[in-house]
Amino acid sequence: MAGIPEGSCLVLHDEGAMTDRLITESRLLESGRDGVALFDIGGSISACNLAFAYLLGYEHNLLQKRPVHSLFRSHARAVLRTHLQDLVILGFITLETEIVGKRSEPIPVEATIAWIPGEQLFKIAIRDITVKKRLDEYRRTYAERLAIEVAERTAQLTEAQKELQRQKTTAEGIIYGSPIPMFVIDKDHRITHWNRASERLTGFSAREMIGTKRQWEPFFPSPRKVLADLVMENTPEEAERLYAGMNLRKSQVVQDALEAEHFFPHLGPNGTHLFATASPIEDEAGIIQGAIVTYQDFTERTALMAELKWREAYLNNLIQNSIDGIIATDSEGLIAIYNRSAEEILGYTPEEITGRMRYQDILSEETALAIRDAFYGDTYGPPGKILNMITSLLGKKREPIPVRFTGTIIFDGEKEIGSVVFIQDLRELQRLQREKDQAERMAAIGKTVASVAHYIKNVLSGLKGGAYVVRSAIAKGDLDLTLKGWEMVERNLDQIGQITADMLIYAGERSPVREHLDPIELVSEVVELMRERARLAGVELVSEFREETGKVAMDRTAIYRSLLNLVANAIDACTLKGMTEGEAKVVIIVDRPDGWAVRFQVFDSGAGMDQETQQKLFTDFFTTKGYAGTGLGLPVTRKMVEDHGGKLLFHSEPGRGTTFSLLLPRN
Amino acid sequence: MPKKILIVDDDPDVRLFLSTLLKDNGFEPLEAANGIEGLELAELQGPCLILLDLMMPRKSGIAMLSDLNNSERLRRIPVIMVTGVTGETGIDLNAFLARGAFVPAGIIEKPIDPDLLISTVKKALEGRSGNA
Repeated sequence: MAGIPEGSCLVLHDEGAMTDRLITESRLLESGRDGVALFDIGGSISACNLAFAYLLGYEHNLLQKRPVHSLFRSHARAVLRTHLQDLVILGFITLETEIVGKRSEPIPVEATIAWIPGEQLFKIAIRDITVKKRLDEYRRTYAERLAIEVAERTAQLTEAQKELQRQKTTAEGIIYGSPIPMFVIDKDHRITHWNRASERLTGFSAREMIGTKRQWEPFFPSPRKVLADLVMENTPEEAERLYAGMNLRKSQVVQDALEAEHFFPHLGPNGTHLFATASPIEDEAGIIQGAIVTYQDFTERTALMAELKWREAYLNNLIQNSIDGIIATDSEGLIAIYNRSAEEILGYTPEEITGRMRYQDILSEETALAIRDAFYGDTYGPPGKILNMITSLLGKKREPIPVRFTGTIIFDGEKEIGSVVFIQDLRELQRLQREKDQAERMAAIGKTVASVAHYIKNVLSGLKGGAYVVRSAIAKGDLDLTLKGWEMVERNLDQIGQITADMLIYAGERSPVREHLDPIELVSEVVELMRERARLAGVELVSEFREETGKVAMDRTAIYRSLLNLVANAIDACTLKGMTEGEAKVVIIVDRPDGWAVRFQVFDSGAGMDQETQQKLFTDFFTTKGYAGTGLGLPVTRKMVEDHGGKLLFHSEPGRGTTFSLLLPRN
Repeated sequence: MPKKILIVDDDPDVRLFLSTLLKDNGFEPLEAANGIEGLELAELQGPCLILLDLMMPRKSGIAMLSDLNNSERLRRIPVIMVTGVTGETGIDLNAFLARGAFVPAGIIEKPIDPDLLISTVKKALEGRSGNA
């Protein structure tokens, strides 16, 4: 079938009779791949090509005579059924619609309907637009999804933007509200942030600082680069020069940051000690975009540190220079503090002892126990303390060192965390005491020698006087005067005998020879002997025998001399009073208190003794009586009384008088 | 007629020695054992010179001196003070003298040197007669 386009359907009606018409139809049906059908003004399909029939799923001959509108759905169907005449006028229309396939399935098509005036026919060409529709649908869906996506993305972006802004605001809020003074500069060295703490520290407000390059102003008297500027420029030499003497250094904590510490006299009323850290701010590419500076106000800390250092030094000084040895232990019991005096006492160097030794190492086992008991008991102060315990430590050569020991356990709540002890070297004290005793003894001996010399000189003067009188009397042949002179010589010889006896007794050359004697008789003899002396001194001498004692075993010479000494002393003590006031009294009382055989009390109404005199009363060779006394009377008396197993006591009230008591034991 | 010299001292040995010494040198000694006796004798006998011990019972040398000073008649009698070791008698002689109420004709310290005593006595008597 040459001349008929491929894919067309040739519907043959009456072969032969309709040749012209056929030719026309053939021509009309040539429409490429589109399905083409011809229908008349009444809508009845007269011919269609194969593509048309195939599109609808019909056998091609089954479409003949069918009304064209039956192939359409909805409004296209109505138009074609009722308004075909209008199409004649319009010429042609193209519409997208759906046609109904054989199985009643809708087939989306693009239909072009044209009026062919010469033939009085309509030509309809339909193109399956299922694929196009699908594509369109796909495109539409895609577009919709795209739109949604875009909307979502946009929303996300907006949200991110907002978040960023929020973060920025928060960051700025954090910076601004931070208690740490800080400021930020940008790459042009302009201040972008100047927080509240900075405002407070410097007195410059954010409003006046932000946007300027005045970061130097609070700190320095004239414009210059500050740490923030220098950290951005990486010019170490310039930094060194500008921050000379301000402890400039690289930060150990923040990479590439610089630190400086210095006292700024212009900052604050009394200047401020600041520690500053400046760090560069880099972008992702590592390019410096600015710098942030934080400050720490070290003024108080520096002051506290200085105070602390001073206190520590002071304390250390106190400890080290203390005259007492100071030793302290830590919670482990190891010696932690060991001062110079302790070093002098014990002989160990601090290196040998601190952190190495314990109390046990410097105490004998026995002493360690005693000290432990003393710490936990209350013999030497409350538990936990030892006050003035006389004990001994072991020195480096393991020799015992006598010390006065005072210590305290240090508690933290209930827990023992250490101890501190103070030790006084008694060796030195004992040596000093010995030296002092020696010196006093020497002074006393010197004084005694002087006293004895005076005494002897006095006696000598009496002897000379007596000798002069004797010679003068002999020259005149005056026997009476010779005798008087000779008695004078004898009295002075007696005095030499007495002091010699005193000194011998005191030197311990004589021991008591006991016999049974009546104390009352002894006292009477003494009173008899001293009566004249008392009278001359203007002193009334009285004896009182209060209790019967019976005979008592004693060395006659010793007790007689003792009583003579005491009575003579008593008379001397109130002589001045007797001379000036004419009223002075010495009373000897004999009684027998419980536990004793006899007591002799010798009272005088003299001036009494001051504390110093009382303390030195029994000191050898002490005298207040000038050359009249040897200073041996009381020491000799006490020695004689003690040789008897007795006691010599005294009680003195300044202004009222003194009483000496001589007590002798039974048997 | 020998000049009367009054010895006031509580120690009989000292009085015996001094009176023997004064007699041997041509004076007439008068003896008193304390200030009260001394004043009585001075009033009665009107001595040319008084040798006065300071430390005495009843009336001390110092008390007697102030009595002598208060007497119009006795004030003119020169006094030589015979003292123990100064400063140890309980009487501050220097402070007493520093008050200037009394100027002694001489001071003799115990133990007494016979020659020094006689020369001091003679000097005191000469001084007095020179002034008189």
